[in-house]
Amino acid sequence: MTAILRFDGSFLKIPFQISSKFILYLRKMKILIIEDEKELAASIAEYLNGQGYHSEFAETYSQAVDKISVFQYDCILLDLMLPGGNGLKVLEEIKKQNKQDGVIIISAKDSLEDKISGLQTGADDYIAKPFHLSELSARIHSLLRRQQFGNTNVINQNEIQIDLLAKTLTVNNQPVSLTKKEFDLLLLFIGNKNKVISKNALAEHLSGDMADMLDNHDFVYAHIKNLKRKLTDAGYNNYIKTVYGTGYKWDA
Amino acid sequence: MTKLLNKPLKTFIAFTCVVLACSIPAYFYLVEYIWIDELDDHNQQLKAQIQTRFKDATQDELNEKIALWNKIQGTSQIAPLAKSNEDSVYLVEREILDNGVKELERFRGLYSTIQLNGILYSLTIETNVEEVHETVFAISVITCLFIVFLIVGFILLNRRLSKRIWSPFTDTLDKLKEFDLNSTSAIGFSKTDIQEFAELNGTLAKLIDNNIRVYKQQKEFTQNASHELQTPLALLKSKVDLLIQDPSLSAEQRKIIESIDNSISRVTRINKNLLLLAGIENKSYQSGEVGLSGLVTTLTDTFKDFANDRGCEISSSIKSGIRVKASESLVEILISNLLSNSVRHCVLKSGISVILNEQALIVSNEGKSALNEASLFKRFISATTENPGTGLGLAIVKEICNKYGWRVTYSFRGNQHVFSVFFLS
Repeated sequence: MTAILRFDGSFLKIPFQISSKFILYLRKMKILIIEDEKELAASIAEYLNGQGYHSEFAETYSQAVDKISVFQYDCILLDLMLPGGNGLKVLEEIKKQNKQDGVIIISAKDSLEDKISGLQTGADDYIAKPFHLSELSARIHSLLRRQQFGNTNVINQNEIQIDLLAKTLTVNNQPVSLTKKEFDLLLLFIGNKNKVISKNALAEHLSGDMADMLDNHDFVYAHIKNLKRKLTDAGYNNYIKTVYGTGYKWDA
Repeated sequence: MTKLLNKPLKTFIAFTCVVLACSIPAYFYLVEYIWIDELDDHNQQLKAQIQTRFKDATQDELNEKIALWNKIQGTSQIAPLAKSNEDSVYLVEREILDNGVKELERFRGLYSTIQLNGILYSLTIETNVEEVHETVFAISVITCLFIVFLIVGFILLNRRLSKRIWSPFTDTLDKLKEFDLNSTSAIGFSKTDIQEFAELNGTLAKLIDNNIRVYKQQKEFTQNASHELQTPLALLKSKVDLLIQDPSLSAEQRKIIESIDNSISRVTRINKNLLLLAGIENKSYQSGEVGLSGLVTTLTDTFKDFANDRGCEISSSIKSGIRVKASESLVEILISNLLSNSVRHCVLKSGISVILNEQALIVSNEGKSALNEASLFKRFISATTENPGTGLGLAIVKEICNKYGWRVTYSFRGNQHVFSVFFLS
């Protein structure tokens, strides 16, 4: 099945058959934030709600287990250190109940052991605190895309088409060759439409674990410039806007 | 530096020499006394013999015997005497012929008055005594010989003793040399029946246990503090991310927020590195065979992007099939820290070279002047003020090397900063 749609909810082409997955995609995505730090949970929710998601909260182990047993979520953000129990237990519970909810672990414990055991227990992704909300949003976006559209995962936005699996970009049906970093940047923007992304968030996204490279924002600037140039050359209107003194924004 | 046991040895040897040197005259006088005493006895016996032999003879026979005696006995003479004299003993030196060579010999003499057939005779008996210098020489030679024996004996015994007696000490010393606070495992000293060493070991063990405990506490503290910081940092970060979404922010405000964001980013990185540093010794880093060649190649490729941003070229010479036994994620951190260090500090538009072979991984980049090697691998010490990092990157490299017994060195050769990690210790 090929699902072609506009990511902002409206869509141009109706697929041949409207699958249940597709209908699922039309409603607001439900996200459960399992996090005992209320302020942090509120920030996450505020950001995600601005992205068109619907967020719910759980602060303790028992609240979390109650919620996941009763409701279905598209994505669960799971803190590992919870009052009343280990977050991994919640994860085990989700798997035991055969839930299909996607799970992203958000943990202050940036230890390899936790990461491995988390992913082995069945989490879809792992993000260490402290993280940028834009990074989290991009991860959620990517996870939801993977869940909704398994084999053919193509994002259509105005003139551009992004094939997430083949990692290719076409503008007006013309292939545009991007470097890996430029493609990564594009994904971050797509996952954070209409949001201002700070240079630090961009730098962290680009350098991944090479944390010590982050303080140099020149390379962020260079990659954005290249990406913008490639998109403009291919005839795509410039949607990447510079927000003075802060960062960049993808105006959709 | 002298060994402890050699110090008394020298004194002992000197004392032995003095005592034995003093013994030379003592022996001499003793020998001389015994000699003379014996010879006096001998001379008295001879006198008695003469008196017995010459008794009961006629005057003519006696005269004949005396003449014969005087003729054969060169050193003993009997002569008639008018008046009886006191007996006396004396020492005399005379020249005599020995094998045709004139020699000065010493004699012990007895002068005595005897009565034979009612006539008084003087009897002189002289017996050869060993020469003074000969005696002294003989005694000195023997004494010196003993001195040599003693010294050689002392040295050999000292050597054996020092090996045996000090073995618990050298054992303790070896263990202390190998001790690494990082490994946080106490030293098991071997048992000794020597009180001083037992006390030493006991005190050391206590000291080390204390140190390990404090070190562990400190490490745990760092770890806990860093962990506790993660959540507030996450909160700060998220609030800034929300704040920048506000379209009504003025340019001034955005500038302020940006510098706040940069600081948060920096604290985040420092915190992350501190956590890493405190956790390197953790057991969570399982060791396995790591394909170093592949890892270095991948990471070098990753860093090419960053290097290109600074107009630098990374050239690499990576030998394939090189493996080490370590934790893959730590090795990855080690390599990327070295690479990012080079990329960060390389002179604009210069070259960076990465070399990997069986012995070492060598990362070098062009630089202006040599860095201070002593502080380079310490925490929070940035070698340059330009483009400072978290100040922990190389400390982490060092820590990882320590964990696996590798050696990391820095040198400045031909305007190149060269960082080498030697895998064989």
